[in-house]
Amino acid sequence: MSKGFNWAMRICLWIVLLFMYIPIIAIIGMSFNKTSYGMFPYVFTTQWYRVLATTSNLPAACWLSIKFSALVAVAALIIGTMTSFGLQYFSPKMAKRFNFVMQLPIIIPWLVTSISILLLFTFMGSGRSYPVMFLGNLIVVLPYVVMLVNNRFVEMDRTPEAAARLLGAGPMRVFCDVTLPGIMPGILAGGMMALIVCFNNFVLQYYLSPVAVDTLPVTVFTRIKSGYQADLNALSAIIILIAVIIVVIMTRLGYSGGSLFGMSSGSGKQKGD
Amino acid sequence: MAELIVKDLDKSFDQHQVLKGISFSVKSGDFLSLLGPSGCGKTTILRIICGLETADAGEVLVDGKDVTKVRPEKRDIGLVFQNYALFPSMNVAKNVGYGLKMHKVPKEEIDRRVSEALELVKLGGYENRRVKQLSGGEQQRVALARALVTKPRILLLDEPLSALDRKVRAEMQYEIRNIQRQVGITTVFVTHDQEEALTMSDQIILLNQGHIEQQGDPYTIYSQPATEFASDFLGKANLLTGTLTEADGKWFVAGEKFRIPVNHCGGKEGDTVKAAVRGEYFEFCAQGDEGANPFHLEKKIFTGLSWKLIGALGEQPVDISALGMLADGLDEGADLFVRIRADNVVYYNN
Amino acid sequence: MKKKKKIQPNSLWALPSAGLLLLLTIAPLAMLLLFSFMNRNMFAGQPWPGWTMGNITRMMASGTFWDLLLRSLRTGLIVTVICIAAAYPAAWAMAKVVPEKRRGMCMILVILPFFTSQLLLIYAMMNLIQTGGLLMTALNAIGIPAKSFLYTNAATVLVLVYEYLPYMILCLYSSIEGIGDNLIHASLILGANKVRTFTHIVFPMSAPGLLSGILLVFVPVVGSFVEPGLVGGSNGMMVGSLINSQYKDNLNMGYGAVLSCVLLIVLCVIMAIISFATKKAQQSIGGDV
Repeated sequence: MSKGFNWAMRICLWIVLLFMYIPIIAIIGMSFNKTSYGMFPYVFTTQWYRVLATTSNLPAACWLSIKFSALVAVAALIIGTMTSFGLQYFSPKMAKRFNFVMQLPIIIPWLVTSISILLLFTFMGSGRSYPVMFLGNLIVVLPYVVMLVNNRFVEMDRTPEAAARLLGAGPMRVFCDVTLPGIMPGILAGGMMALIVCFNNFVLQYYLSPVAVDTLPVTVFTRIKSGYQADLNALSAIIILIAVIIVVIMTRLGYSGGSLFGMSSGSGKQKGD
Repeated sequence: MAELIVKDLDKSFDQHQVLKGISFSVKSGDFLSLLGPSGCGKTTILRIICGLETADAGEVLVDGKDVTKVRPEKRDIGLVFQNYALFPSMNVAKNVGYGLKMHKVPKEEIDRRVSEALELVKLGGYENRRVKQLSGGEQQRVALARALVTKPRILLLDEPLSALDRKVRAEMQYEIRNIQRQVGITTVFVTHDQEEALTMSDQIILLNQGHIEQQGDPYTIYSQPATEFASDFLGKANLLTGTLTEADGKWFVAGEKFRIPVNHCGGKEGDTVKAAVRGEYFEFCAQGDEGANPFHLEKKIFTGLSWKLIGALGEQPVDISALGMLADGLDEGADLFVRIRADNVVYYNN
Repeated sequence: MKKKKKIQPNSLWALPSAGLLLLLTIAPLAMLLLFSFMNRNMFAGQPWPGWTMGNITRMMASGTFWDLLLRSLRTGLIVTVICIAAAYPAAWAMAKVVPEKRRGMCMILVILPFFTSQLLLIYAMMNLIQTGGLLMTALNAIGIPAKSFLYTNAATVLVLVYEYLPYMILCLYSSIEGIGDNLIHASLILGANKVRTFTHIVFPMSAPGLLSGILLVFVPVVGSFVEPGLVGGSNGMMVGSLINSQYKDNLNMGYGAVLSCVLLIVLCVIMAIISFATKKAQQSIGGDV
């Protein structure tokens, strides 16, 4: 394509990135701003981080969310890895069907997913509770793990597993010694995806969390409704920083953005050399 | 060292039958090649022998014992894969020692036997290399060492050389055979390369579409292909259609303007048969010599080792291959005379 | 002759999640249907409430519901179109213009918002456009007397675009990246102009990515209730808000279930049409590529 055309495209990309990052950068900037409402005059301070560390209700909610998401992520990892492993032995047609049903929880609007799960458990007589919230979040993060581990299985050479068996290793040994190291990048990436998606999932927790238990998204929601929140700015800045670290790690593990959505991207390059 | 017997193997994938009653045996210490075009079922046979695949019917016996129901990790059969199948997460020593570790061999002995095995495949000192740093040939040697170090009863090789370039392949052919003799292990080698099979094997089994076309030592297989397929697959023999005739107790295949002697092996006078003759068994002679047939030379092609002479014997197309000193003086378009010995001709009655 | 298929024992490892899917995806959807026909709310320990068609007749007669559904679909359409319009050039630039070295960096920048929470993104955008926020202050400073449009429909659209744009970019990027440069060059050399090259090469080959992009943007936007609730103001309700209020405010589960069912069905039909249309378009102009 011509130079001018490509420059126009490049400028579009910059505009899009600016659009995406001005609000985020503004939040980080305001987390160091003394003026507690609005932007100006700008006076540098770290007092909101101190508020966050002492009087705010955000850290407790955050800690709850971290524990909860970790639990969900671990469960999703175990079940998801088992599922991917099993899926490799499905006929292609069955695997396609299974994957479709598997993706339903992320395709259907989360509002409807949450409501239908709430209805089911109301029907079964339990209603909102920790186990229900756990199951609801689990089914929403499971597809990510299965998808990412599946990709590894597809890319991976499976003959070393056969070789290990012929050398005298039983199925369990083969899985631990050969299969697991091979799919590990997928498992790690899947685990991080599960952790993050669960940590941020407002809708399901809004509907399924036990009464009077507020996870971080639920707390943030109630706080935002009442407007500007200085300590929330500080927390946002911290969360964005952590997100940056996680994304960098994921990219280092070889996961491009496309592969997070189940599309092969750049796979030709990986196999080329 | 062990004797391997395979009996009446049947196998189908979906509706497609890939093995139809395959039976053969390998003597202790022998080197057997399963040769055939891709899709003939040779790799499936190998996978059934080592237990990675289950046959629909038939059995596999090692030293007279049926191992058909034994799980692959208990069979004590080594396999070298086409793509080497090394463990990418382990270094060379860990790869080679893996089988020993599974057999609970003590650590010091593992180290000793691993370096012995690496010496055997001429990779002494490679213990701590990473698999990804090795060339294709080196990876194949590691795979071979890994398969041999546990001293399995039978060694299976699944097209181990097909991913290597020509020069390395020739080297490895020689070396694999050498190591196999040294260790004395019963070996089954799968290949689609007829030259490879001919140079390396004690015995060759020629497979086509799931059944055995011919079994024999390399020389017999080459010089006396038992079927039309065999004559075509191994170095493309000339096929001449003619009538079976008898004269003075001798048998011939005769056609328009040619008559070649054969050893009688079935069929009666007057049958239409196809005679297979390899290009290099023709001998130039003078007109009027016994058994002389007219050959019209149409084209000469230099192939390096020899000349390929394309022409017609009587009316039928024939390729003759001749060494340089015989063919240098021949001109395209010349009319010559050739003859052939009955021992070098086979015919098929169909 | 039909052979019975043997089940690979290893495939049984997928059993736990098959169970979970049955319990948490299939059964709940069935529950949605069941509750649609339920008379009153159902609570643990109470007797069976009984059947009714009331929810459905109420839904059919409800002007509010159909208005909100239409408005949601319109919002979904606007947001999706804006996302596509912004994402195509950006994805193209990432895949074909930006040097390979810096592509990873761009990728990180685009994925990042996905890893921060949806609520934080909404909150960040709210802060930016509120009265006295950075944007308004800046506009006023250069002499444009702008009033904050927070708590209007425009704010809802802006926030939704902000949230879902990365999905569209990533989807389009992965398919555009797969289009060979030589294909594009060949088309240009053969004399096709840029528009033709786009409609005949780029569009058909990026259609699968476009389709998943639409799926990932349109469907959740139509079903959204958080954004209209937070930034849409009192007139900003969408169909999601109405459904949400059946559970959070009115405690009318049966009616909420009916509305959810209808929403799902409408979304399914629309996605089926879009997917069919995309495939047709792909075939008719560049099926042979």
